Amino acid sequence: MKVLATYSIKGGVGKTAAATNLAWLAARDATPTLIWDLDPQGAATFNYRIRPRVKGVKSLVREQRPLEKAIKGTDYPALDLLPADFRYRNLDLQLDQVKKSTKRVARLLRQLEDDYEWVILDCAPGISLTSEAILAAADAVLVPVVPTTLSTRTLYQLTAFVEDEAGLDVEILPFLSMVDRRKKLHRELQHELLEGDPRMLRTPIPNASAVERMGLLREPLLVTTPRHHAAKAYEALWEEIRERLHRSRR
Amino acid sequence: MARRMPLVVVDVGGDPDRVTGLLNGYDDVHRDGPELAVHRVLLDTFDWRIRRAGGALSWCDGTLSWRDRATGHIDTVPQDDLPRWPADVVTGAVHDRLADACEVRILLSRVEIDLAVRRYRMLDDLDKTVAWIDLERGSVDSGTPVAIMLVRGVRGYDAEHARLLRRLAEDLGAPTADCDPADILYAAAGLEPGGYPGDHEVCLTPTMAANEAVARTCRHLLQTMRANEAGVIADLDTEFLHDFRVAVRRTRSLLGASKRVLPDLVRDDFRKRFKWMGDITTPVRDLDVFFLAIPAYAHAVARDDPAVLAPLVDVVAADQQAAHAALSEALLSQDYAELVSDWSETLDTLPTDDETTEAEDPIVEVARRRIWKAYRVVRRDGRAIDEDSPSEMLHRLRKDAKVLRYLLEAFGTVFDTDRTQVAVRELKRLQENLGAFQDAEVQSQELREFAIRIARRPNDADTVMALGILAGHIEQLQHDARAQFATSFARFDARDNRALYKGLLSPKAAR
Repeated sequence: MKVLATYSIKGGVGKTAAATNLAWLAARDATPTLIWDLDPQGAATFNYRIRPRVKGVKSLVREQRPLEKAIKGTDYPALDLLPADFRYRNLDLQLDQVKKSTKRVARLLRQLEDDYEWVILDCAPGISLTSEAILAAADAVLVPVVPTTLSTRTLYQLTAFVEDEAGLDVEILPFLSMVDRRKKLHRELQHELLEGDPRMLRTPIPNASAVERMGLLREPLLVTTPRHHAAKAYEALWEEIRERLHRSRR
Repeated sequence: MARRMPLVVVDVGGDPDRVTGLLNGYDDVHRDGPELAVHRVLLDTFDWRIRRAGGALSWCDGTLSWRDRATGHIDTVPQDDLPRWPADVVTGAVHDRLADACEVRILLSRVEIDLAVRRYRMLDDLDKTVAWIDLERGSVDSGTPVAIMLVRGVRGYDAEHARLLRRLAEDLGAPTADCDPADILYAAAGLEPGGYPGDHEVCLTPTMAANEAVARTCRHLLQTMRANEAGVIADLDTEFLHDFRVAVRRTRSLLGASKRVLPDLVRDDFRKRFKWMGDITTPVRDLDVFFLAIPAYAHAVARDDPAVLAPLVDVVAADQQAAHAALSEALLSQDYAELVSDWSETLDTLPTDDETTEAEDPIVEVARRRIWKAYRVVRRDGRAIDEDSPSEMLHRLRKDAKVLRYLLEAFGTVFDTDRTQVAVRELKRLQENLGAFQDAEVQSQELREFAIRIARRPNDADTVMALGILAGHIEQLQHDARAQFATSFARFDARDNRALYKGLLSPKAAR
């Protein structure tokens, strides 16, 4: 089981759109995949038309109730979803009450080790105890970076946090998100990031209204408009992620 | 894989149009896409090993599925073409189940059907799919129509699935009993899964006349031979010939044991003709056994370079094909056809003459005497073998043991079945030891001949070297089997086992 987290300190950078589409791609060839929507806003859950409600969040965290009880099947055979719940906003508090809180998400996921080949964790923005526990559970963290100064800055904040403060052994895989080729700043920063940061995945996700419309149609872009250039970009990005993980395993 | 979706399969063969009408009338159930045409094939081995392992294997448009018949759990694997062997399936759960169940048997298409599939989905108030319904309609080759409704749940929506089933049951006016989709297709095709003659026990009663009991058993053996003929001729897998040969050998053993039950003239005639059948099958079987052993030999003597034995594989395969051609010719000959029809007629008419003084005796009495005699022969011949005995004596003992085994298996049901099973189990251990010795002996001789032929060919020096090592390995196997014989036989000849035979064959033990 490989665990990927889509994560960014900054919000509104295309994190959930990436999680929604990448999870669908992971499950496309009948590979058992789970997307766990850990963002209390529940956008990934909404995209898959599932009610954002989880019975007994506290007991799940305390392992008094198995995680699998909360899992819902999506409309796509190999893809399941662990829904968001507004009570996830208190997850920090609940984690704080258990032992080895930063390892708790990893420990919970071990319950599902035999069930899934891919788990994608869609995280809320910001740095918190929950995000630290999520990062500790992931094999790789996918970081959407909008080519703007502020977004780029948060990537380096995250790197510093992961490497220096938390001392986590997680691979950081940043990718360009919401790229608008018409903007000079985007073009310049895209070039700079691709050239300057070897971790950066090569496929940029374009800024497209079709991605925004996903919230309206409530289906992955790859289902509604599979030929759209943004859908193609997600496909290429997924291949690149798999290839990168394969290489790092070697 | 622990992901399980509740799935209920309903046979709606009687009235599929009514089901379509019902589904079209439900507000929350919607058609999903156009009607699809799919081709489904049910696969199993000739002797239904998948069925007996509790599974049902089906292939449908590039996907191979193993359904656990007890739990309904389905494992799938992408598979472009119909697999013939477990090795054709990529490693994973389906492959492992197949390999365990089928071993050396080929997969056969048991039922093929073209189906028109209409898919429906049940939606909740968020327009989320909470259950799937597939309505499959088609007809099997015989023309029998088939209609199956598969109501599949979605994980986390069990209540909705149950509600849909309740609604369907109410509206259909009948409970939506879960069926095995394979059973529905087999029934439509008029097939009885698991119906392999080699497995069925012949029903005998202790008081049945001996000639009738022998005839009934032999008829069953003839049925097994006939059932396997086509597979032997087509050379589908090695087990067709194995089962055919076992039926021939058992028939010969019964003929041998039927003195005073069948007229000598009849016995002598058919013993000769069945011996011909045995003889003509032996070369192919020996080569099959050799062929099946090659992977283990390669592992033992050429682990680093298994390809070095490729010339051996070629030679064995060529010989096997030549021997098989001769066997096929025999099975398609007039002589064989006459043997089958004459034997069948004899079993139906049950001739008697002045010598058939035991023909009307109860089978339990005759069987007791014959088994006891066969047991004493095994004991006598086994006891006569010491460290210096020639291998022919072990070979003869092996034949004696086969006769005893076949008699026990043929007539065991008229005695205490549990005790018979224990006796067979103990005898089997001895037979395995003798079989290992004999196989190694035959293969040593064969290997020598193969090596001479391969040595004549240029560029196969490495292979000849490997064959030398292999000859040593086989010799060691034979030596090990020989060394084990004293222990194997001592166990067979132990006080407990002797008491078992006495108890089994004493007059009080009759059922």
